[in-house]
Amino acid sequence: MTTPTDDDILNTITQAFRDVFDDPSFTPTLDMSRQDEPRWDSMNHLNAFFALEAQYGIRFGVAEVEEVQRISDLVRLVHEKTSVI
Amino acid sequence: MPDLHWLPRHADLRGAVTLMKGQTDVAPEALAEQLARLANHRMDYLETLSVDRLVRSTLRETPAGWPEVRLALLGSSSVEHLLPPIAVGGIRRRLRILPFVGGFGLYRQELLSPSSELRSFAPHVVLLALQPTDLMAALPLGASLEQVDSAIARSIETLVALWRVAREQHSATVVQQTLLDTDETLFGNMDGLVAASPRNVVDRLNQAIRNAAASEGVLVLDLAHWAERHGRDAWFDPVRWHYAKQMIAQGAAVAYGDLVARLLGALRGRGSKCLVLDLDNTLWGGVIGDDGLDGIVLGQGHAVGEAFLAFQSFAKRLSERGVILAVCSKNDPAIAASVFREHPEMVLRLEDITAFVANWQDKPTNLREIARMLNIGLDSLVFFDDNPAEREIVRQKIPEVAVPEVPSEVTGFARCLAEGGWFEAISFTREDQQRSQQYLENRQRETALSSATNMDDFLASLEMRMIAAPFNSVDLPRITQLAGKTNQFNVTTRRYNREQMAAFCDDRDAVTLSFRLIDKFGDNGLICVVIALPDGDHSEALRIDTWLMSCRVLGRQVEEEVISQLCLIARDRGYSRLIGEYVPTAKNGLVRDLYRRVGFQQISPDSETNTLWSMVVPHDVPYRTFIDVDARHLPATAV
Repeated sequence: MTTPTDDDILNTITQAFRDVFDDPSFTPTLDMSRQDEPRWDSMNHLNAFFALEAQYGIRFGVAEVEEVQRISDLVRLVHEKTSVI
Repeated sequence: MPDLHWLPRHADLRGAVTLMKGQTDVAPEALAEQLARLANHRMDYLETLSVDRLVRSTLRETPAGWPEVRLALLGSSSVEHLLPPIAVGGIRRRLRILPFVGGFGLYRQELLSPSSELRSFAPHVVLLALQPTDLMAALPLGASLEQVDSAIARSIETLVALWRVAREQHSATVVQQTLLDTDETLFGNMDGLVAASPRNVVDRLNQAIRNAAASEGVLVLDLAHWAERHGRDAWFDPVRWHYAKQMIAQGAAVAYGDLVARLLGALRGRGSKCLVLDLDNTLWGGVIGDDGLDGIVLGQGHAVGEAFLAFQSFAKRLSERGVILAVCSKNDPAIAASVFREHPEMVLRLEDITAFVANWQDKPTNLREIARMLNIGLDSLVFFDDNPAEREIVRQKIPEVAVPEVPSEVTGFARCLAEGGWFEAISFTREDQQRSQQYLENRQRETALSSATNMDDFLASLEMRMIAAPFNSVDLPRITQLAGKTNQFNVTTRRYNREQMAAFCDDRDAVTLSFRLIDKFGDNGLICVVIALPDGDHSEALRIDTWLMSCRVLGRQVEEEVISQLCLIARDRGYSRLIGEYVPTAKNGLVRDLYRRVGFQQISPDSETNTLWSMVVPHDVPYRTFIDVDARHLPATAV
C-alpha cells in the first residue's frame, strides 16, 4: 500500500461530496468552506465523513468532525490517517 | 454491518438513478413500478439517499393502488437521516410513507397539546423512538430489585398513558421502539446481577415494554433485538451521537428504514402469505431425478445434510405460525413427491405443502398457477430458489413476487428468509395456527396447465455463451461422472466407464462433444455430453449413441443448439442424416419426445426397448438460438 497523494485525496473527497449532493459536477477547491456551500449542512457533513470512512477504511473522532471547516482540513486529516509510516 | 443481504445487488445503481432522472413522458404507474423495482436492490446508505432523491423528484403523488401511510417519528434523537431509508423501504413494498418529525425531545407536548403540528399532520402511525433517559432517571446503583421494579412500573404506566393519547386523540396506531443499551459495562459480567446497573435496567424496561405492548395492542419495533443480532456497535456510533445526536448510525440506517417500512407494510396488508420452495439444492442437496432417494444429501450424520434439515425445520415453523408452504420445482411430479413420502429424514411432509407443483414448465407460469390454486395475490408469494437464473426470470416476469437473493450456502438460507422480513406479522391468531390446514382442505387439486410464454427476452437477457469441444483428458472425469449419474435428460442411459470414454476420444470415426454453458450469472460448468457414431446399417447416417444433459439448464435452448452443432459436424464429415435413439427407463420420461421437439421424425414403431428417429441434415443450421457458441475447439473444418 502506498500513501495517497493530496491530489488523490482531493479527488476522493470530491467524489464523496458528489455522491452526497448527488451532483456530478460539484468541484470543491481546497479553500472552500462550509459557509460557501449551503448543501454542506450538518447532516451532509456527517454523510461526507461516512463516505470517506468507507472509502479509506479509517475513522474520524468527534473533535475532528467538529474542527473540519474547509476542504483543506479534510485533505489534511485524511492524509494523516492514511500515511504509511 | 446490517445490510440488505437478502436483496440482489444492482449492476449499476447510480447509473440507473441517473437514467431514470432523465426520463420524460413516463406514465405514473410505469414510473412507480420502475421505482419499486429499483428499490428492491441491495444498497448502502449513500445509494439510498440517491434513490430517495430520485423518488422525491419524480413521484408527484401516491401511485394508484399504493397504500399511503402518514408516519410521525417522535423522540429525543436526530432522525432526519433516517427518513430517506424509511421512504425507500416503503417504495420497496409499493407503499408511500409520508413522514413527520416531531420537535427534538418534545414528544409529550406534541401528543398532548390540542394545537400541535402533530395534530394537524393527522398521523396514521406514531413511532416512539425513545432513550432510556426519556423513560426514567438513573437509579442509585445500590437500589434494590423492588425499587428498580417499581420505578420501571411507574415509567411504563406513563408510557402507556401516552400510547392511549396517541390512539384515542390522534386515532393513530402506535409503534414503540425498544431501547438501545448504549452504556458501557460497569461491573463486567456482574452487570446482570446488580438490579440497578444500566444494563439490567434497560433489559427490564425492554421486557416491560414488550409485555405492555402485547396487552395494549401496540406494535413493537424491536431495536434491541436487532442490535443483538448485528452488534450494538453496528447500530450506535458515539461520534454521531455526540456530534449530531444520531442514535442510529448511518451504516445501520438502511436496515432501520427497512424495519420500519416492513412493519408499516404489514399494517397495510402488504405482508406475504405463502413461501414457495424449490426442491433440488433448496430443500436437499443434489438432484432427486439423477441422484435418487439414497443419493440426495439430507439428514443426520452429514454436515450439509443437517444444514438442509435445519432449513426445512425453519420452513416448518413458519407454517406453524400461519405461512402457507408451496412447492414449485422442475421435476417429475411422482419422483419429487416420493422424497416427501419415502425419505426417512424429511422434516417437511406432503401434508405441510398446500400447493405442490412439479413439472417441466417455466416457473413464472407455475407461480401464477400456485397463486390461483390458493386464491391469493401474486404479491403474497415469496419465491425461494437456489438457482439464480430462475430467480431472474421470476423477477423479470412477475415483479410482484418477492424473490429473496438466496445465498450460495445452505447454512445462510434461513437467515436470508428471516431477516428479509417478508412475513412480518402484527398479530398471531388461532386462525394463523390453523391456516395451513384450512388451505389444504380447500385447495383445488389441479395439475398445472401448459401455457406458452414468450421467453425470448428472458433468454436474450441471460447473455449465454456455450463452449463446444471434443472430449479431452481434462474433461474426461467430469464427462464420465455426468454420464454415470444423469438419469432424466439421458436418451439412452449408456453408462460408459472412464476407459470406454477414453476409447471414444481415440476413435477417429466417433464424434464426441461436451458443452459448457456460461451465462451472466456465471459458469454452469460442463452440462451436456454427446457421442455420435457411424450408423452400422446406413452409411449416410450419423447415429447419436449418447446424449445427456444436466436438468439445471433445461429450457435454455441448449438442446436446439446441440442439434445445430451436430448438423454442422455431420455435414462436414459427409453425412446426410442424423439418427436418434430413445431407450425408455423409469426416469427418463422427460426426453421421450425430445427428438420430435428438435425436428426428428420417428422411423421405428413405439416399443418398450427403443424408438428410432431420423433427421435430414439441412444445408443451413436448423436452429438459431440465443446462445453464442464458441466452437474453436472443434476441428477447424467443422466450424
